[in-house]
Amino acid sequence: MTADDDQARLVRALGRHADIEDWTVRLTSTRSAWRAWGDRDQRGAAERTHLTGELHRDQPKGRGSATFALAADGDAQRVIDDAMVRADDATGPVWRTPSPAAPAKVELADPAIDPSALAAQVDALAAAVDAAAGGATIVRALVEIAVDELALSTRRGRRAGWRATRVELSVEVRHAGATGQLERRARRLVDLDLAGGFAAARIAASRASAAPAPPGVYEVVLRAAALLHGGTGLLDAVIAQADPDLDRQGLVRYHVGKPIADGATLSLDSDGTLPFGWWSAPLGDAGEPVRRFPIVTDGVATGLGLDAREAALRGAQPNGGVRGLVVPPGTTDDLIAPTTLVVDELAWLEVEPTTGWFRAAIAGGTIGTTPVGGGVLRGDALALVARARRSRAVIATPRFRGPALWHLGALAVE
Amino acid sequence: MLTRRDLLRAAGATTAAALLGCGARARPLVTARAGEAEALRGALRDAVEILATRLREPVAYALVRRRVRAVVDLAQRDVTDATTIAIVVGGRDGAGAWRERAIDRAEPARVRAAAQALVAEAPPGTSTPLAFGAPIDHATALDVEPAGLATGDWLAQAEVVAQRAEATASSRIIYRAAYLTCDDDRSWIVSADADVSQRLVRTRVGATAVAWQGSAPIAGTAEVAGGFGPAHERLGDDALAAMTAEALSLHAASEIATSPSADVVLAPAVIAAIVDAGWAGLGRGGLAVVTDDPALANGFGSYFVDDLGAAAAPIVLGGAPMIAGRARRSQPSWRLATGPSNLVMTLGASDPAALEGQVEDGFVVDGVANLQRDRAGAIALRATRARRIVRGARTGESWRDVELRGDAAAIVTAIRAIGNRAETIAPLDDDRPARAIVVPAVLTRAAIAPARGDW
Repeated sequence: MTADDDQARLVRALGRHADIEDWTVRLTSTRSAWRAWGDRDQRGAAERTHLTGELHRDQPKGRGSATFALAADGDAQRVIDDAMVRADDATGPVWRTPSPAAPAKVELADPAIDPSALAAQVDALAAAVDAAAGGATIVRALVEIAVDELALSTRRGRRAGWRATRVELSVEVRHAGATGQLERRARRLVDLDLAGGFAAARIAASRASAAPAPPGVYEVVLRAAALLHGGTGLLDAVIAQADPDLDRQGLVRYHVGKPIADGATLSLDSDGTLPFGWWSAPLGDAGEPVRRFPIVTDGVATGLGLDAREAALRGAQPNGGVRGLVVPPGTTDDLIAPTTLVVDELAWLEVEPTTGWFRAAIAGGTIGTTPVGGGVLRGDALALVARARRSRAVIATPRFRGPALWHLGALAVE
Repeated sequence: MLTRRDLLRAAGATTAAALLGCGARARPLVTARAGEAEALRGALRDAVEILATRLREPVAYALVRRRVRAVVDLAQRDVTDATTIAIVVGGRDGAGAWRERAIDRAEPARVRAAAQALVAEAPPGTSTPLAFGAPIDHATALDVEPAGLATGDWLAQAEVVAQRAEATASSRIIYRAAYLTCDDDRSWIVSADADVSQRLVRTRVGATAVAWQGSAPIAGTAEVAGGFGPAHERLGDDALAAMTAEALSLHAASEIATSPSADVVLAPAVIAAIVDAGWAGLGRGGLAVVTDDPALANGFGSYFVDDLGAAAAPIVLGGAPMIAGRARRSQPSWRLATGPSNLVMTLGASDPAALEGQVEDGFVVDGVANLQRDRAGAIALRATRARRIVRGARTGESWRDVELRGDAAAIVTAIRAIGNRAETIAPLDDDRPARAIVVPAVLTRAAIAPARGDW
């Protein structure tokens, strides 16, 4: 029995249920190889499958939906029965699945990654990491290359499949007696930017032992790496407001068509079709097409991330939800004065999605030529990024295209 | 043909449909699949024989995890039941490097094929003699056998917790939920000299209640977690009453004044979060002694052998390196890692009143919203409540949303009084092996400040 057999059994079992109005089945088969070194010497390979889906049942009082997962050689009928019961217990407003639309055309598989030679490519990547580390000592490192084969099928006959590659690395380096961290996720090997990443990690390590920024009010500039801490960072405050669930419950600060903050100038698009983008995909989890759409335009809210259900409830077309982030370049590169606090990296960040409030600790930065290695920022992330002056210089990562520097204005540092 | 379930659904009794009638079937028992288990065990032995031809320390590991989660709140009654399978074969090559392959299907032929593929990749030059010996099976003694519960039984247990919580509630409570989750793990570890299986059952029973105060929701929570079967009685009525009281408690609209170093009595949940964040940096020397104890009776993080088959003994933190018997695997990668099991703090002699009685001017801090930690060990713990203590007695002043700051190890080292009743806190963290922190309330010093600043 293979995962494809499991998928076929599941689809056949679903097909026998006339009382299921719609369903989607998604099979992800992953082959990967990894290597860990530094404080250990380990290498490995893995083969995994993930067979999941969702079904919808229409009742007189509305439509009920439930997700499900089938384990290897699992009982497909039992899984469906359970999901049907749960769907009937979770009935919401009536909606109809939107008509199928063409999948987005997007490249997700690095042609340089050979699925039949992952172990050798991991070794080559590990050697490249060692070489790029330069004078820094690798305390611990982990690299992984994975190939995902995705197959999606729906009740209405849609069949789609695509391949996606992933490269992930996590390296802790010691430089000048302090440690720095390098984390990278990309679909292509060439997008890892090892040289730039290690240069930043060495700088971060050298600043880790610096004194915290003295408490006070500073003009604060965040480099994109700090702004996007953990993936989307402070932009989470804007992304959360584009959540249709929160919007419908009234748990947002503004609605589409309204300014997102006083004096807002931000424009922000979601683009799930960026070539080799980390969040890019032809179709969403429920088979809805992924599209580029504006979230904020010139400071005014313009769009929400819509899956099939939310789109149907609003009479709109689905767009696959918020994915890669694109911000147009700013108008100047003259953002840093000698007294400006420039934050290279955050140690941690917390953003409250519904209010936009945030707190963050500075891991490394500078005031003029003086390195700083600490300090806590708090405030209204939504207002700060909405009004931020942005650099003309841009960066491109697998998750973001936009300004390299964000001038947040005057901000208290504790 | 209409079934009882269809009739109940047609009558709008969807909950009853889930609980009763033909919809509530007993699950196939993992432990009842004796034939499959023996076939898997045989395949693991075969795999080790293959691995031993070219690797040292050959090991074959299999895990079958059944996870059931039953939740009842104001809007839904839901139970999910999922099975996860992980198979890993590994060993050390002649150059000393650890090699392994992981798959997620338990067919014997696939297990053997994984071992063959691993051997084919490894350089020749070493091998290992085998002496499996007789299989050894370990199992947790259970008060309630999860394999014997049908879907409706799980929901019924969560319903009872919800009803017991409701009995403590008032009209100010705007949201309530109760849950019961259970991981039923069967794992097999075959190495060059051992063939061990263990069954570990971990259960959480909990509830939450939310009330509005002004423009902000205030939540109270109660949970009991441990290595026992799914029995709602484990969560006592006193804990549920305390949960409701916390949700209904009133706090000052003003913010707490910042204090760079205050006496703080930390509730078990708060000191548990700090120990969990800083356990690797804890040394000896303070009053508090923390031990990692994989053999703790009914411990949420307990196990008989680690995931390489080695028996584990308690280790006092700050002494010997925490390696022996602590090779653990966790989803999604199932790679080997070293981590704690049950971090247990030795008990003191102080009851809660005695702890607070030692404070001249300070705070009781309770409820953990989250904890942030930088690479140097500095933490910023966002706590949901702080109450003022002056000359050993609560003044009645209280604040919500406060931040506790300091170095995790320093806060533990500064403990100067320890409570006499421990609670088990089990972090909800699937990406690391199951672990728990078993700690009482403590009296220590830390910086305290409003979490939101001028917001």
